[in-house]
Amino acid sequence: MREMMRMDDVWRRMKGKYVVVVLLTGLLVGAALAACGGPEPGPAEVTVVPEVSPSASPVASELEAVEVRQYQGEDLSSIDDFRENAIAGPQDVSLEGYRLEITGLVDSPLALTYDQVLDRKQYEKVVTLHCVEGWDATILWEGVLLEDLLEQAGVEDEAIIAIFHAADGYTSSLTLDYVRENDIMLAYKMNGVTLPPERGFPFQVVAESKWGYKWVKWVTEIELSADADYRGYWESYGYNSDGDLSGSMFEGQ
Amino acid sequence: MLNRRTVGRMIRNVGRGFGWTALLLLLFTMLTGYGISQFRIVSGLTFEILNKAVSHRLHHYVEIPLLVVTLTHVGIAVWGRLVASRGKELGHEGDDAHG
Repeated sequence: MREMMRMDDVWRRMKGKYVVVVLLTGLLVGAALAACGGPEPGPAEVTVVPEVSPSASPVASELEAVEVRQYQGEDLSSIDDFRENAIAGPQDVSLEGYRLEITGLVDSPLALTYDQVLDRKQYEKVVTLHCVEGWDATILWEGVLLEDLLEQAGVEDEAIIAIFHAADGYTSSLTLDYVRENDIMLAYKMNGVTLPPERGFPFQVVAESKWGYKWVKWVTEIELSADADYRGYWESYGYNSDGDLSGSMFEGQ
Repeated sequence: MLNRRTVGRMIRNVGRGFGWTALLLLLFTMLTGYGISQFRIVSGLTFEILNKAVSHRLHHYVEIPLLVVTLTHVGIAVWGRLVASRGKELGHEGDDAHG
């Protein structure tokens, strides 16, 4: 009885002061547990988009695009579910004078207009972007295969990586093996809507099963290189160059 | 030989030390957290020292120590209060005996 009274006394004295600490501790434990169940890359299926000539649907092109929120029974995130985290803020890339350059170790360097990039087989697939900040977004991406673009330029044998340059100066790289084996796309639409400027218009790399810092937005140049030690913008600050969701987030861990 | 009051004071001081350490770690965790999500602001404020990648790495490193220090602080506080409460009770018992 006395023991119980003593505990009661202690609790009464402490509850005001320490309830905040206990709550904070609970939050921390919860956060730690949540962090343990890291993201799992899901298999993405590529679908060829049926070819529709723009002139064949003049009415459709005049209507305002509506975002797709469900695809083949799968719920999609909204295009507004992204957090703005570009190194220099959203970029406003004008198509006037825009060229997607393919340079470096290629037989014939290319400088393609927006329409020229789109003038090839188009694909769509649902892929989840996982950001290192902890959020993710599942989106129906529509775009062209990087492999098709690279094939047009003719990749030299010694090239092993593709370095993506963005309009804001951001860079990141992907190995050519990864690009080829995973049908990596250069997207121009998300959820059926043309990429908004803040989401990477005109083109964004859809680097599935890689962390978000590999998904370069506002792509202006693809440079083929043989430099295996190349580090992109965030990679040069310590993020892993592989960027695999299943691997370590940081270099040397 | 240390008496009960001295031991209680020592426990309180150690607990207080852990409390301040926990507070500092908590503030550091918040700063590095902002350094991840609001990296442009934090990077500018810290003269590029805390960029996103550095913040992220430090944020990971500080998680466990913060948890351990906070729990230790709470544990010591509970223990200290129990000791103090017991001491007071024994004192009352002494009073009763004298009374």
